[in-house]
Amino acid sequence: MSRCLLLVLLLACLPLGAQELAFTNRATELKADLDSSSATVAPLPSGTPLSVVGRISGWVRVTTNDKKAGWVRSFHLRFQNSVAESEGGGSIFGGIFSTARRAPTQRTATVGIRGLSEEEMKNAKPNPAEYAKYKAYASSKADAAAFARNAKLNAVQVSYVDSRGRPVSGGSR
Amino acid sequence: MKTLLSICAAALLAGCAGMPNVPGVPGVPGLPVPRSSSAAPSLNIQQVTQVAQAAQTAFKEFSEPEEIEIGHGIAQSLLGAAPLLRNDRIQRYVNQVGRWVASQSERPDLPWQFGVLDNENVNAFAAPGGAIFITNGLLKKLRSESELAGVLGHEITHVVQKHHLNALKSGALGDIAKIAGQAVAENKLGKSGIGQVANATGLTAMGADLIKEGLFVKPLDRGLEEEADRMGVILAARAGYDPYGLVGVLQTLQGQAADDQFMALLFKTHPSPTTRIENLERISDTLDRYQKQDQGRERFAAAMGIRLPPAPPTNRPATPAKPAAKSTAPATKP
Repeated sequence: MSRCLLLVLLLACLPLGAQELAFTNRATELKADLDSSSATVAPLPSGTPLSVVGRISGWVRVTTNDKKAGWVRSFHLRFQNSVAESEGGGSIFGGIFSTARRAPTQRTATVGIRGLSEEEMKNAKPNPAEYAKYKAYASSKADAAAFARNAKLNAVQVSYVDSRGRPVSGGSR
Repeated sequence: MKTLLSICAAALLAGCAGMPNVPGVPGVPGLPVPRSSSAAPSLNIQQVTQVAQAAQTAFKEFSEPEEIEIGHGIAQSLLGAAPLLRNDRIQRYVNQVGRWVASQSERPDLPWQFGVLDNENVNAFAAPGGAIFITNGLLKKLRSESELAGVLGHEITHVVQKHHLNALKSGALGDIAKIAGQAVAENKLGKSGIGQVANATGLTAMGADLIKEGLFVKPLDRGLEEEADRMGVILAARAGYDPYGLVGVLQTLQGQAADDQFMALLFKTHPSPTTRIENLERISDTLDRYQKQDQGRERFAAAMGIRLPPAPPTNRPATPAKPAAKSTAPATKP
């Protein structure tokens, strides 16, 4: 595939967002379906770079560098900042992304961020008019239940679990 | 408390008898020095007592109505810093999803309110009493209703578990408690001040002060953030959502540049996305049990007025057919 055509395709893809990249964070397997018991398409060593096609629940559909497609458990992936990755891996991405993403910025909460920087919060004045609008948008319990009914969302009984996944009784401490 | 008063009393007596000051005084160790005490040689016993009592009183067990008023004060200030996104449809949708998830918690009858802030920062906030906010910057990064439910479930858990209130009470948020104690001493909370957390106006004012003193720029204890993740995904599951939604959001955040300026405040106040994902992996068996629950992609796209890429092709058996969501709004960008 010519470089020009690839560039055109990349540009065409842009409105949907930059290509997501991920690496396996352990030795794992590319599966044919979003099910551990489905066929294995290929083994994936730790650190394998993958292009993300999409996700469903705990599974991510990916393609490998050698064009194999399949599913990987999302916990077996580490998502990588695409700019950093592309600067390492190839220059075709460089220059396409907005400069806002490429320009190194100081890791600080105060630099030029309107409204929610530390500085701006410290100077925040109460806004009762805005608060009244906020309050007016609230949904009642009944409204929310009606929304759920329409959406065919069914409430389920599920116990909270502790950090190891053991069920615990719920509620405030 | 009694020890403190007796130290103060000893100092006072020492002063009266003309003896040298008790060692360690003025400024009783460990106590904030009252503002109005200056270079006066004798300790103003009344002021010291006031501040001591105030600091203790400020974060006594708040009743639910008091908690709600404080939360409203915090909300008013936050909205002073960043206004609401001007989109009725999105605001109502986020409230419906949020209230539905909150209804699955142990505090379903709080006056839960949800707002989208018109701000490019990526963040969400929870104030005591159920006033929740998500920035448009974060909302735009979400891809399904189950992801939204995950984020809101996390924030709702902060309120259900009274994380911020307890942190203020225990002094874990440091200076803020001291300042609030001063607010009491300055009679902001009612006429006589001491021991009285009287009127709603005062509580609202205190909430507003908490924002100014940096309530949301200080991190909570990491364990509390982990608890909010761990309980938040359960709330999402209870509401009928695929609980992997929050995992998806965290992986999106993981893929952002570490020095992205719009993520700075989020990264400052939370454990890293990688750590949070690892902690959720420990409960993956639980998450898997509910992974076939709804993601609500189409409803999300319709409400946001966006086009989402279709779900990737799969051989998984189709979920029970749902009627197409009735949307009066065409799926165009807002």
